[in-house]
Amino acid sequence: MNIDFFKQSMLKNKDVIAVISDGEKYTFTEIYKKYEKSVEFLEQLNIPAGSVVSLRADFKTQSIALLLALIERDAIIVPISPTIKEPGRYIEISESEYFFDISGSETIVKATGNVVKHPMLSKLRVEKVPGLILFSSGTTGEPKAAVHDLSLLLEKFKRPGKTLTTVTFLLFDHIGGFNTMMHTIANGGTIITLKTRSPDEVCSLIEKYKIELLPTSPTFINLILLNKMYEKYDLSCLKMMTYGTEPMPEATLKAINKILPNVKLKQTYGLSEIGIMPTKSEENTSLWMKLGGDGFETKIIDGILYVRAKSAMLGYLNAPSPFDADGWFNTKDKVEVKGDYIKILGRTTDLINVGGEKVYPVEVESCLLECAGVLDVRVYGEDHPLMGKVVAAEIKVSEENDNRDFIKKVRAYCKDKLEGYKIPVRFKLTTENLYGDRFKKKR
Amino acid sequence: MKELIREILKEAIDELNEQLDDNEKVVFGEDTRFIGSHACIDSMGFVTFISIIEELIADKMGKNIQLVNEKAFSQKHSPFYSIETLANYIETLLNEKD
Repeated sequence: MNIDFFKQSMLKNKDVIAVISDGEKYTFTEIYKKYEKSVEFLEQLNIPAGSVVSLRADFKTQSIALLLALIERDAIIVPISPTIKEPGRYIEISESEYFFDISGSETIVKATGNVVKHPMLSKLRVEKVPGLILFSSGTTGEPKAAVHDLSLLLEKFKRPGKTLTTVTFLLFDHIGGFNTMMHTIANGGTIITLKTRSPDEVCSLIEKYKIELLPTSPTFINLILLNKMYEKYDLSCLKMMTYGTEPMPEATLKAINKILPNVKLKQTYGLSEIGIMPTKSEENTSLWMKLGGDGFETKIIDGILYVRAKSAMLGYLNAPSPFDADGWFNTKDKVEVKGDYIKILGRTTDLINVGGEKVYPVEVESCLLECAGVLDVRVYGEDHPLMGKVVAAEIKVSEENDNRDFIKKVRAYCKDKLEGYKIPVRFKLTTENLYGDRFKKKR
Repeated sequence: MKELIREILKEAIDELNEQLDDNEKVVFGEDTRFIGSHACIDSMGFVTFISIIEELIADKMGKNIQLVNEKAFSQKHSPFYSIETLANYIETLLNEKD
């Protein structure tokens, strides 16, 4: 694929700092040089055009350079984040012929011996377009491999856009992380890479490098609030925080807006299967948003959101096509509608059916988060012989609250705030974190 | 053991009352009915009450028992009728567990 639009942008912004990583600053000139070296490297290795290549990497100059060289070579790229400890299954499902690991200090290249058989991958090769394989982050079962024609996903980056100095919070193999990286290269922006993604690291870098955009998750925003990071670090440089990947509790949204009133809060909506959709939040404290446009159509049937996208994936490698005959994708997100705006209530798969009454975990989580002493909470359904399901809550507490009296206090708190069937029947207290590597609740 | 079970039932009622309105509060007494036409709590209240009892038994006696099961419903007289029947039923379940 011709990547002149990326190359021209890099040359135009040659003195701009493209990446700040481990305290080192790299300009686009340096990225460009590394890209040229990567092109030579792929030639030397004799990697044929159209190869399926797993790339285990984080946001480093080397990964960006290699990614660009692979796109130009029409490779089918499988980004794998270093947080994935066992990439073997991912390499197998994606039929990767090569495995590049540049997450450590040395570059590891392996030919896997895999033979590409899947028609979807062959199609990309025949059409001589680069591909991108993203794995859905489902916590149960085997991850599903979504195959994209990368030339379609990159189309939007040919149009100039504004950039903000951005911290790469979302991971390298996440559609949002990938989008941030491509947008930055195409528009001469700056990204600051992270090592641990801890609230301390993220917020100290925001202060140090005057970061303007933090793309993140509701869980992480809750951590900023809980740890009072805004008292420890000056976050006034932030212009925008975007949140997505999981439903946002209203309590968290209101609390962060109160603490950082000058920061624009914008909900994002993206799926591995369809790409990142344009969104517009009604206002900072509102969960209502406009969704779609620019190649994305939406429709709502029985309260479920369906999307049809020009940049949609071709399909899954290891699961049946989720598209209907007209190309609509069932997001399985239950939504409410108000004029042009929609509000996401939650995944239909997370919905708890309590004797016929429907409960969305985020509503209960939002209520519980307002109760003093609740540090974090995960609400889920538990099987029950009488009701089918009942609401259960796992609450993170400090050691002093790790007792039965605290549960009594929470029950009393819920009394006037939630309908009876929404009040958790079972409570489990823990002093452990409730989120995974991606700062997303374990569901 | 019966005494400890009654204490647990009293504590479970106290905890349940935390989430009930003043006019709905359950009294710990022999006339209190948990099911049937004179039941003092609705179905969600009942489910929560049972769950609290199970959790308290696990906390205080270190035993995991499930109060709502097929056996409970197949009995001629419901074990969930009153404090007395519930205490007897729990005692039986705990003895079976031993």
